[in-house]
Amino acid sequence: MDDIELSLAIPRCSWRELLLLVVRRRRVCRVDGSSMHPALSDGDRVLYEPTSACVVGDVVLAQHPFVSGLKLIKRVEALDAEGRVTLRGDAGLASTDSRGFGSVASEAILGRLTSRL
Amino acid sequence: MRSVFGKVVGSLVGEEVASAHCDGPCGVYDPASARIAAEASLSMTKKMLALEMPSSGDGHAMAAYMNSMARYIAIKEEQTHLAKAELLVLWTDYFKPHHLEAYPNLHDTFWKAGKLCSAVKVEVSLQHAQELMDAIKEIHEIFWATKGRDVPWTTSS
Repeated sequence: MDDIELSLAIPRCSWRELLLLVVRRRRVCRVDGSSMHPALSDGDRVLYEPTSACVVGDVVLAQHPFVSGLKLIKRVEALDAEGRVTLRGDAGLASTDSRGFGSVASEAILGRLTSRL
Repeated sequence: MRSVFGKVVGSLVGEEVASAHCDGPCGVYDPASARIAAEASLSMTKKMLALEMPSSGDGHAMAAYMNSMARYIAIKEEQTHLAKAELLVLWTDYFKPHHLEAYPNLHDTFWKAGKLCSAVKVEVSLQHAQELMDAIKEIHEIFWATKGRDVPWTTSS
């Protein structure tokens, strides 16, 4: 159980991460809401790498498929052969995610979370 | 300390906000809806206890008395059930595991409030109707503390 929780945790920000932030290879994002509990809490600030590349298990920043301008933070649950991404909140019983709005196109993935500030 | 560092870094480089919410109405929960319903139950209980039965020979007065009493009973039943439903929604939809960590008595508080709703429906008890209000006040205080806001407890009557 501990091992599972450890693998889901977002690592703390390292000097390398801060350096990447300085050279604009990372961006800062604030988490609003609790659907990623326990990995992330409401108000946490995270660094993300702007990219649409992701693998199952990554926590990503994604554009909501039906609400323009609304960005989401969710975990990648599955990737299908057509490149569609299934997103899910860690707080499974309290998350609006692909169970509601379906899978999203890979272009909707705006970044991959790399660390927590 | 960590959050201060994050705040400083965020303001220096500019930060975006991303939603990690549970659902659309996430931000509009409020124990006030349960309080209003429970307050109506308390009011109906008071009215039932205050109603004086007319003399047995007066048919009109007896009909009016029965009508009033029946209406108070119906409203008490309906509003107490509504209070129970509102509490259940708040308990199961708004409150999250991390709230329980901060308020270990949360489940017990809601469970007792739910039991009091049942008692208020079954009985004509001023004491239990008032205890239900007290339990909702306790929930009101926990709820607003989780939102970091100081919202005073107010009642309609």
